[in-house]
Amino acid sequence: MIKRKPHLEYRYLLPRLLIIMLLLLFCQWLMAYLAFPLYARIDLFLYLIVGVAPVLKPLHHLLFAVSTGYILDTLSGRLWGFHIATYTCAVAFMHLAADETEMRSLPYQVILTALCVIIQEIFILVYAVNSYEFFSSLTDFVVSILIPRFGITVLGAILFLIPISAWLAGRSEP
Amino acid sequence: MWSLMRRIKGFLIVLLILSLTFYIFSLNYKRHTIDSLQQVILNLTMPLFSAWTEVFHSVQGLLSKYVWLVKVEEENEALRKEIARLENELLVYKEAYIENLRLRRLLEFRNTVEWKSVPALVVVNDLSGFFQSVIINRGNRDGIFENTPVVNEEGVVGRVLNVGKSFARVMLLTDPASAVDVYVQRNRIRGIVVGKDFQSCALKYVRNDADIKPGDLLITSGKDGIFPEGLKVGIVKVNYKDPLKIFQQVEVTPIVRLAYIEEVLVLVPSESPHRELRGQNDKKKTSP
Repeated sequence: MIKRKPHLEYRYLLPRLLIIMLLLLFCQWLMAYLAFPLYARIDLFLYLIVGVAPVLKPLHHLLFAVSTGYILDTLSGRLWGFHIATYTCAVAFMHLAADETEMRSLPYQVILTALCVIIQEIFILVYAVNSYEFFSSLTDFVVSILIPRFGITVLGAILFLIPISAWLAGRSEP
Repeated sequence: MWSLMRRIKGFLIVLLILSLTFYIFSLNYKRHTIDSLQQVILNLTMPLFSAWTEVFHSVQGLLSKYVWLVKVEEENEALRKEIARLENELLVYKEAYIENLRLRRLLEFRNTVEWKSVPALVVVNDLSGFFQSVIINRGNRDGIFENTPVVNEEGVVGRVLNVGKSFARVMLLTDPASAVDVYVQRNRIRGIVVGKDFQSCALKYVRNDADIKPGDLLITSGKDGIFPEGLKVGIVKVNYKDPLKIFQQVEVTPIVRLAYIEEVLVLVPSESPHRELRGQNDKKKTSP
């Protein structure tokens, strides 16, 4: 069994979390403002939820995920619970396997991110199938939007998770 | 007992999370308002979004001016500072001029609509991009209620989905739940415009033998009880006739560039049948 690393002191962690959240919110807003194509509209907060896992206690992580999801659901559209549900699933997956795995390992975090994106895209697909009129087949939607989005999110995980994890873990050893 | 619990701990957690997820999704059938907590979140984030928009506009303006200033510098070094000052001043006036033009267009449009119109700013676009809605900075206290039509100077934008005290969520025309009763302007053929695939719309319930051509303009019929008659909705992009089906498939491009809207008008009927009806329903609910 791998022992968890000591949790950060929250007085150091909270300002950092707040700064990261603001930066991510800005990037997410910019993507919406510049009307990025759908396949490039990745969920940046997913990286934060995954990246913050090693430094938060499970219950705090769950609370953080639910509140972040609530904020994003408020700022998003009709499907209430899209973000909350995904982030809650992410927390569940992470802490289920926490005793057997090293949560700080980048490959593990990338795999988890990929798993969460798959869950998100299943939600989107179910929503789309039940809601939209598709002239061409649904396969086109999956191939042209969901698969590229998955690819970009997984590649982005490498780009975003390293700085997020490094910065959050910066003062773990007092 | 405890050993059994420990063995199925993982399964129980997954079950709990799944139940929580389904519960959260079930709230979609209950939520109709922007509640106080959401109101607080919007109040806290709105200044951020407004500031970012301002900064972005200024940066865009300054960048374009910089290119021009480099040319001026090459022509006359001595006047560089003076030109920079004038440029900054001009930038401010230009912003005001563009805003004035936009508002003027809105006012002109407002005069053509007989409904009472409430100008509103788009605070935030849907961050995920998959659920076609925007949040505007007007709510209950401005007389806005559910299903109030939202337009801009180009045409129909959508309708109000949820309302809070000072914010409202607007469902865009491209959302699948959006349905607008329309006429083809050329020959008065009637149909219903619904969201198609996150970016465009479809015209439904048009018979195979109906005369529809690409380029036809669609306008609101006023028969859906939500939108007033004669507003521009979209243009027919392409249509397919399947001999095995009763209705043809018509793809429609919305008139309004929904991804880039900044200002809208919320049309509130002066004598609101919706509100009266809702008031009567509320009375019925409260009466024993």
